[in-house]
Amino acid sequence: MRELAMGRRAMERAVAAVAWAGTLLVVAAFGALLGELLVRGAGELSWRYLVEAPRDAGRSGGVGGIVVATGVLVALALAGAVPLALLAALFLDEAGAAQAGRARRRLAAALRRVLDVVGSVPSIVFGLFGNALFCRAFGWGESLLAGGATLACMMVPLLTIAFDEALQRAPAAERAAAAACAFSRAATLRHVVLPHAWPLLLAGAVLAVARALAETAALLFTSGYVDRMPTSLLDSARSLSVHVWDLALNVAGGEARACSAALLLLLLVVAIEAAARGALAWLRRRAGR
Amino acid sequence: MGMAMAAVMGARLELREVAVDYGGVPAVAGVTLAIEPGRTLALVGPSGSGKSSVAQCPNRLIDLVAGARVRGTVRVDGRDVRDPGVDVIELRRQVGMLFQRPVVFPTTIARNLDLPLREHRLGDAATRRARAEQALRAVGLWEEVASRLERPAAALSGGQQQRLCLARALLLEPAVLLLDEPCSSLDPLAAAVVEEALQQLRGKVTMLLVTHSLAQAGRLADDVALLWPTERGGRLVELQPAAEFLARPRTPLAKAFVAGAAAG
Ligand SMILES: Nc1ncnc2c1ncn2[C@@H]1O[C@H](COP(=O)(O)OP(=O)(O)OP(=O)(O)O)[C@@H](O)[C@H]1O
Ligand SMILES: [Mg+2]
Repeated sequence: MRELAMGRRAMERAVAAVAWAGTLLVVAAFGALLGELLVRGAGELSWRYLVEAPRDAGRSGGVGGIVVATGVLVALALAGAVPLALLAALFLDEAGAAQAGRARRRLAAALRRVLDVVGSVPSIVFGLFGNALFCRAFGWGESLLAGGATLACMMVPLLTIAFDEALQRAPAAERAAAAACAFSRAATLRHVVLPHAWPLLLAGAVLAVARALAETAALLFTSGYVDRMPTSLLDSARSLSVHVWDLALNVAGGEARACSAALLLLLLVVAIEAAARGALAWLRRRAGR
Repeated sequence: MGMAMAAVMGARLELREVAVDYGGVPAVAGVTLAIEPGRTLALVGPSGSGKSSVAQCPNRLIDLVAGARVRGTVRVDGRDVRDPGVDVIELRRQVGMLFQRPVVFPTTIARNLDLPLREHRLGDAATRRARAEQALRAVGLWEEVASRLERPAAALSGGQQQRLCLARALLLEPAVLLLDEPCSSLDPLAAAVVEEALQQLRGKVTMLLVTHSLAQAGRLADDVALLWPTERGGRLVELQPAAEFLARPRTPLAKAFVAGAAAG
């Protein structure tokens, strides 16, 4: 017995050691990456870098039009994907209710499966699909609109799964209390379900935005890589991630500038995450919690 | 309590052969009873005898439970609650409910009361505030919370939360109140305060009170109904005026139940 217990303790220690080592490794890798980006890229970051147009294939100048294009792409993607994902998540939520019929439940189960599959499709496939549908069939050409629409398609599964999770956060007791107060479904959603859902809704949106910011493969085929300032949604334009990719792989002597753009991308993600936290704190205060 | 209940004397609540099962497993087997307007009936019985299941039928809250099936008829004010013509929202306005654990909405005290009023379009902001105050006074909570209406409701003590829930139910001027062990999650002092608030409502609204305390049944109820679990679900084994039930239970099970309560 005692030997067994000792064996188990040794085992536990080993597992803990592996877990610690793994964590350290990840932190160290991220630290090294950040260090590299900071050392090589931080020097170029300035207000002028943010607003000036790139020159000499990005070896000098800034990222003016590219930042704008990135913002527009993400905004378009969110505008398309968030409403769709919310509707889908609401449908899934309703289908999970006790009163829902068999047909509805089957449809919801099928939808879940489709979302799982679509969510794991590689982004390059989305790029080809977006190019065929939006650029050619819709006649939008390589454009912000086509890129945004493609990003939206990629976001929908991810967002729906996150939103569905978020909508299930409200305790059953609170839903029952809302029903007992003669709340309609809509009122229950507003006053009980949403207050509990906000953290996960926002987290899902932040994750989706981060992924959209990181996307290159799908955008190369749909919004292209023209590095001018876009003047309409039908202009082809370059996102920051495409810029990083281009500088790092296609432009001789572009590595330092690739680091600057990558650092900017990282800062953007951090800023968005912080903004989401701020929004959440504000919502909490407003709700009096 | 003035405005909220004065006009309403409660509605008749009638259960006829009400049976409940969960996914085919019987929980309640054919319960028949009636509560006259303004009267209070205490539903007692061992754990698992189906008291909560019965209590969730009149406002159709049991519709929210997956797999639950109800047979028989429940009538509120003469109307079958499962009649296709019945609007479940209207029904739940008429039939309020209080749970074993207080369930406040995740917001301020003030908004907990304002939300139901707003949802049912009961007056402008000033009127709603006045009604909220009246409901809080009716449950003896006004003095305690008047200075912190904008604080989170979840920060109140359990007893205060339960009275807030009662106030919230009263706002809609229900004709029937379903009370599922409203005091059993509270300490004795808080329980006494909630019970006092319920005492004030007697005669003004029809109450179905599920309780594990025969003493409480004796203090609050006009009649007592005893449910007993069987293979085929909980059965009604005795229904008597409260004083009679406590003093002279007729059936062996009721005798045992009353004796057990007295002993333990
Ligand atoms: N949601 C549910 N799903 C499945 N079975 C349930 C559900 N709710 C209750 N039951 C079962 O139905 C029977 C009656 O339960 P109910 O909660 O109505 O009894 P009760 O008299 O209120 O008990 P207690 O005094 O413990 O609250 C029990 O056997 C219980 O296990
Ligand atoms: Mg119960």
